[in-house]
Amino acid sequence: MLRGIWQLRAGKLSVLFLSVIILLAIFGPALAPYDPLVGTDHVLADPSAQHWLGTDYLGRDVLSRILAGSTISVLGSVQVAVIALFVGAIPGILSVYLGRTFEWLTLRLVDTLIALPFLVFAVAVTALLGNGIPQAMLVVGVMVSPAFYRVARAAALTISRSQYVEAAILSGASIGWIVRKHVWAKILPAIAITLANTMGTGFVVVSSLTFLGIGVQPPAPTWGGVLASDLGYLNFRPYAPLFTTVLIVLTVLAFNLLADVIRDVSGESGRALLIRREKKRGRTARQTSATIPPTPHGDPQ
Amino acid sequence: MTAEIIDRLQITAAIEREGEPVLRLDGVNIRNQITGKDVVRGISFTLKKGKVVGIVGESGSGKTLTCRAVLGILPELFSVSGGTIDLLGHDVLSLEPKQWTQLRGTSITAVFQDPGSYLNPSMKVGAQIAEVIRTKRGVTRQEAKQRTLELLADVRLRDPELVYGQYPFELSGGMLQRVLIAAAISLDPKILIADEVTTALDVTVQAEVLDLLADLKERHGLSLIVVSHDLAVVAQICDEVLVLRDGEVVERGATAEVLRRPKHGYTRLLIGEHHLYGLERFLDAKPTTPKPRLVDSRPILIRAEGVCVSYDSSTSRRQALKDATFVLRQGESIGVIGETGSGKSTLARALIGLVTPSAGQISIAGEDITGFSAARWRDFRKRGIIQYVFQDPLRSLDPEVTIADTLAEPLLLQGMLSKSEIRDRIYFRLDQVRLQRNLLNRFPGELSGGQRQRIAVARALVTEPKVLILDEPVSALDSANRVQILEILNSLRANGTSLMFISHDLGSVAGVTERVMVLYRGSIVETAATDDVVNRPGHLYTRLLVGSAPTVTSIGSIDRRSRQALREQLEAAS
Repeated sequence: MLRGIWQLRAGKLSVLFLSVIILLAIFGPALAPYDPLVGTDHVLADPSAQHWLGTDYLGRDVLSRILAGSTISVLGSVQVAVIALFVGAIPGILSVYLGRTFEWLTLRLVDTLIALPFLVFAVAVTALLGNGIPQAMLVVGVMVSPAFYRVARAAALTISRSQYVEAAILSGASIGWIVRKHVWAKILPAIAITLANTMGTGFVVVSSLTFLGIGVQPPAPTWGGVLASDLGYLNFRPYAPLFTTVLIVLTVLAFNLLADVIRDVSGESGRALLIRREKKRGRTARQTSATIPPTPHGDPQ
Repeated sequence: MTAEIIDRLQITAAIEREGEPVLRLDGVNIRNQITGKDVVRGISFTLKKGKVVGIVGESGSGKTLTCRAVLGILPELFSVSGGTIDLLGHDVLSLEPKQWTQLRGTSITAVFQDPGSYLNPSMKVGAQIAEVIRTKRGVTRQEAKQRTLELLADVRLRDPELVYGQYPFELSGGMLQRVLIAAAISLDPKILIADEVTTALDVTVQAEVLDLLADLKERHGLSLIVVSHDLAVVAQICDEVLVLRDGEVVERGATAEVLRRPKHGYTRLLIGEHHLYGLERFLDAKPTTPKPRLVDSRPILIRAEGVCVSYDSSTSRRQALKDATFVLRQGESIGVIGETGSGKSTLARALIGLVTPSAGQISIAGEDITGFSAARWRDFRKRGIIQYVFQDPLRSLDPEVTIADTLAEPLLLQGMLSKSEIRDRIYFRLDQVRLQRNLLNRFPGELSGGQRQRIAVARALVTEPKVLILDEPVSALDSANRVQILEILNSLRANGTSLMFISHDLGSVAGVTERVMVLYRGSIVETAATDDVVNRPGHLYTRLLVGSAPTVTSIGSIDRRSRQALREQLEAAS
């Protein structure tokens, strides 16, 4: 699958862009030319050689704040996705195999989660658990987990009714064996797609939460926080929100693009796609059965 | 004198009108535009009024493409690259879409396999036919309904009024096919193309539909093109037959002539299959006097006593299997036949624990399996005493697991053999099903249908089972592959493996079994030696089944009327 993603131009593009974002998340704070927390006298300055993206209302360098804020923003969305994966996908697969009671309970729980209003719930829980990034992300993760639950359950359900699973049962396979050998590989692409999508969603949510001041205390820099402060001074720097917006939009786009690419290259159709591309490049593709004539045995009278 | 001449002239004119060509294909080539290859090459034939032309060939031979070319509905990537198609004086290839709309339905029409997918599931079937008549004929609703009811009666649906108001899901496959035929002939077409219309149907229902086609031909003067992969189906009603292979006509001629004196090796193979592994083997043989039955001393492998299975839904309780009692001995091969829903698959699934009997007792190799817990079942299955082969290998083989891993799975689950022992075992079974070792690294999607089914058989064999249960193992295969599977089964028999062969087709069962069990509506109605079942069927249903089974030597072993009579008796009895 990984080789397949790299072979498509869209895949290459999204992977490259996301690697840049990851590098930003790791080295961003170190790269910041100024201290993101210390204000100067240059308040609301336009971009210049000294301050590439200008300064904010306290005279802090915007570029430094964006770089320093990337760690929290990216880490937050990863956290969301991982929590959602565990809270959603695993019960989703098990709901097919662990019997009616478990199935019913988890399904109703998921219905409830879907019905809850997203941001309001997040605000309520952070009020309860304390206003910190991990708490906020936990809430968001749980809130988006129904997507994983549904996707994993749907995939597992179709496979559990297939004849090859029945054939494995007839050879004495246990549930663990079946999930490991026959179910997992087929659910993985669906989960990978949802994961990439959720990272995108998580990013937007982290940004909007920090925009609202939930999860992060004001002086700490985040992309959403920078955006919020820029929006307050549109009269002075009308172009300023573009920097963070473009960054957020591109990152979300890259995640969604990656999700699309994963969908394209996985499964039967994906294999066919890759074989076609290989043929186009003149490489020798794997021989298919179409080229092997059936060999009848003898000529019955 | 003059009167006599005029008379004679009139008769000749009538004969000529009878034989007037309605469709003529001349050297038609169909090209796949992507590969640039001609997939159908130089097909020519003439269909005369009131006649039936049959096209036989395995899947991929180009028979459906030819029909689609005639109907002007070739798939996007294909085009007619040579030759002419003349339909009632129109050059089909130069027709505008508008002219096609006028011609289709009124001049030429078609019925395909899988009738369910051609009907709108959310619309009553009567309304669907009436809609066509209304838009094409411009009649009132009332008239359209009247005409539809006539048509439904015409295709011998028992209660047209009832069927008119039913949804597609409420009808059986055979009834759906009749509805589609009624829709096809609703605008009095001259030509009807029947493409694999009976392929998915039970043998008895298949005979009914073929009878209906022959009847419509006589009453309405229809000209038919009957397409099938089964030579016997075509033999039933066709005047002329074309044998297609890889896009070329390899043999053609009057049906009787082709069947009696086939010239091409491929046709001989098709006919040979029926002689080796079909009813012919028994029908051609002189009826033997029933031999005194020797006491069978072979040890009993499976003993089923009074097994009942019922499916409960919230509203009803359906008894799928009633009081089934039988034994299967070591090395014995037994056939289980019956129509769809007769309980034959339920019986098999009860034996392997995929359904739980509501009553009765089953023991396999001395172990009573009826009260097994899930864990006991797992342990029992790991021993691999009893194995199962599904109908459709494409669905029963995991598409994302290589052939090698698929074959190794049962042995890995047993966990008793080393890697090299497992490899040896797989090689041995692969040789037994006559497959090359280089297939091991492939995925099921890369194999042909016949190869896949042989892999499925090999998987069932790796644990060295004592009993092999095969659920319709050859129904999805074409002739050459069917023969191969049946040959493999016969070699297994010779090695002492017990077989239980489930099929709706007496022909394929007869070739490899010594005893046949007939199921009808959930009950075992007859158990006898295969030879006896074929030549001296006892139960009414068995008689109908044997009489319906298409054979290539005799055009139906009993005629249409006796079949009809038997069917009515059977209905009355149950």
